[in-house]
Amino acid sequence: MNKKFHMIKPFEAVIIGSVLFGSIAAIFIMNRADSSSRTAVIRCGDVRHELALDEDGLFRFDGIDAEFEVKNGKIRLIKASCPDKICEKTGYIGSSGQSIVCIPNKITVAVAGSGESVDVTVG
Amino acid sequence: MKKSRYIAVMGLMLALASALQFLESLIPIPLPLGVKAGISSIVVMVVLVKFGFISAMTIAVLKSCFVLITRGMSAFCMSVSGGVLSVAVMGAFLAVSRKSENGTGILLMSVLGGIFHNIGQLAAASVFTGSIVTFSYLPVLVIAGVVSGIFTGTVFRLIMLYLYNADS
Amino acid sequence: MRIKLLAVVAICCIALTGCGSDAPQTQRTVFVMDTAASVKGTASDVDLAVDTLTYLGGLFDRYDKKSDIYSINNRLDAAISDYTAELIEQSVQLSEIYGGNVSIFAGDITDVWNIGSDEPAVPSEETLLNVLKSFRNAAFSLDTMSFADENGSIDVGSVAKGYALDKIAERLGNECCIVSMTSSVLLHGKKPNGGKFSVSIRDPSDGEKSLGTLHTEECFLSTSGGSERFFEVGGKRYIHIFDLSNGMPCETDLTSVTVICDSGILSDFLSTLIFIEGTDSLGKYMEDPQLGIIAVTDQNTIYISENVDFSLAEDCDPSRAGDPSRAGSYKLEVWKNE
Repeated sequence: MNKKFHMIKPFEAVIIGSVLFGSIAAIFIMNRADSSSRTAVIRCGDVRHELALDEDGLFRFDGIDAEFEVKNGKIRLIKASCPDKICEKTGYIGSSGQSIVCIPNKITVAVAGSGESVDVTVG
Repeated sequence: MKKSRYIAVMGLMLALASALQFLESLIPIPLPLGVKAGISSIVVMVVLVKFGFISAMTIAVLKSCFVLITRGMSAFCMSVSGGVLSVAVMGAFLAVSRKSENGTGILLMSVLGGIFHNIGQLAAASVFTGSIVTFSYLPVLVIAGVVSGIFTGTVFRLIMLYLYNADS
Repeated sequence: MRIKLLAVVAICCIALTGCGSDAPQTQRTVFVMDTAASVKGTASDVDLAVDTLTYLGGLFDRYDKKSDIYSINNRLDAAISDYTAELIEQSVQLSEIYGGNVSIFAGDITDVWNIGSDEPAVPSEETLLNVLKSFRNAAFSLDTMSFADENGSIDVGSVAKGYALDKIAERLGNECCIVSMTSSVLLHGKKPNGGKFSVSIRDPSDGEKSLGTLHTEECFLSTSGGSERFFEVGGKRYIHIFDLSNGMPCETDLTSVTVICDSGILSDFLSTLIFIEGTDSLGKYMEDPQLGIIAVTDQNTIYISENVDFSLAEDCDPSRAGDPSRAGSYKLEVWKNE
């Protein structure tokens, strides 16, 4: 084995270990669920919709090529028209910080932070 | 090495990288944003170490073109973004570490490559969807990058052993 | 013992499925009557609402050559739908009861202010005098559904949405349904989880922010002022609601008026009317027990009638923010006639 290369040195293992640890910690911090009812924000290009997660149901929006299912305060994407269906495989999301993305269709679904969700906005 | 031999070897490398990339796309991995195992980046690492930065970059870009033809524009953007960033970071690491006394850590290089490949893909996804919400996946992708980096680094070491023993 | 437990669990499951609405809720958004209309409810209710909106939108769009309003305005001899006739009749009645500050016959005035175009401009004095003359001399016959001469033009923008919501409500069943047309909303039925509907009232000075939340049982609501089209020329803002005495965009001390009642067309009509008339005339509307009013002044005071359950949003409430002079803060007051 060439003397210029080595597999791994201790301090390098420390670096990799801490990056790993930091990422795992970040996931736990982000998933701290808060109990107030939430809203999902669905975007597709310029189109933006808000969906309250307190009522179960199936939803469609004009101009967005997918269906959304809300169940038990969580939302998921179903019936997307993309080839890979990675967005569908993401499954349900329910806490702020989580998101579903469908890249070919340019759809993003994110859960907004806590705040009273209203039925409708007028004005 | 003669130019014709160089081109021939590069062609083989590209074919190998593309084939591996295709094969790994067949494995369904339950991770967001189409993150894959990174097997094809082993080829890129070998090219980087044996032929240098520009050659490795060429392979990375050309194998993304293969993605463009087979899977479409959005997949191409993610692939080229991840591939270029990954080679850039590995190349920088290689250059810096060669000069130091410690020499180059194979695992660290491949882990860095894996992480930044995923970050590049994440950035492309953000631009494509016009939303920074995708960055919420960052921790997951970093972990996936570390894991795939460890795997590719281990395989890379075996290849390097073979290559350096075979070289005169 | 285990069978008993199983029976208890089974009964609980069956009992739980009885709670809440059985029919799954769905949502659709369509672009109609120049606005994004969003309908939330059971699939059949949503389809019904969307179909009604699309159909009526086609009848009332004055710029659509196939619409009834276009035919009337261009003096074509086409048959007019019963819905159009009903809309016109109801609008005329409302103008008679509440005064002529809002009229569907002011189409020419709306036209010359051309707000939808790329280069809006203030029309000349001469143009304004001409359209005012045309408006004042307009004579419309409800029997023939036509104008007597070339004077006058119909624009149902101030009542069409409310009317459409009325028609939808007539056709809906018992299931909960929410139809939003941005400035006019129908809340129908009872929420599946029980409790009142919650409605956010947009801040007229900042479309992204909310003034606060209104809690209400089923009703119609309309708001004027916030999301109106406007343009700015020479630093002055011209809003798409007109003072029919001089043909100019109205100058009022109100920035937003929301009317809550059990008639769609009335809520739509009155929200515009009260907006134009300003705080001086608020008293009589505030006293009317059939109406709920939320009126925002340009001094950042929100007046509500006694029957309205409205709470200020946190970042609008000066007492909560601790600094009464902070920009974006509003004062909430229940209207009392002295």
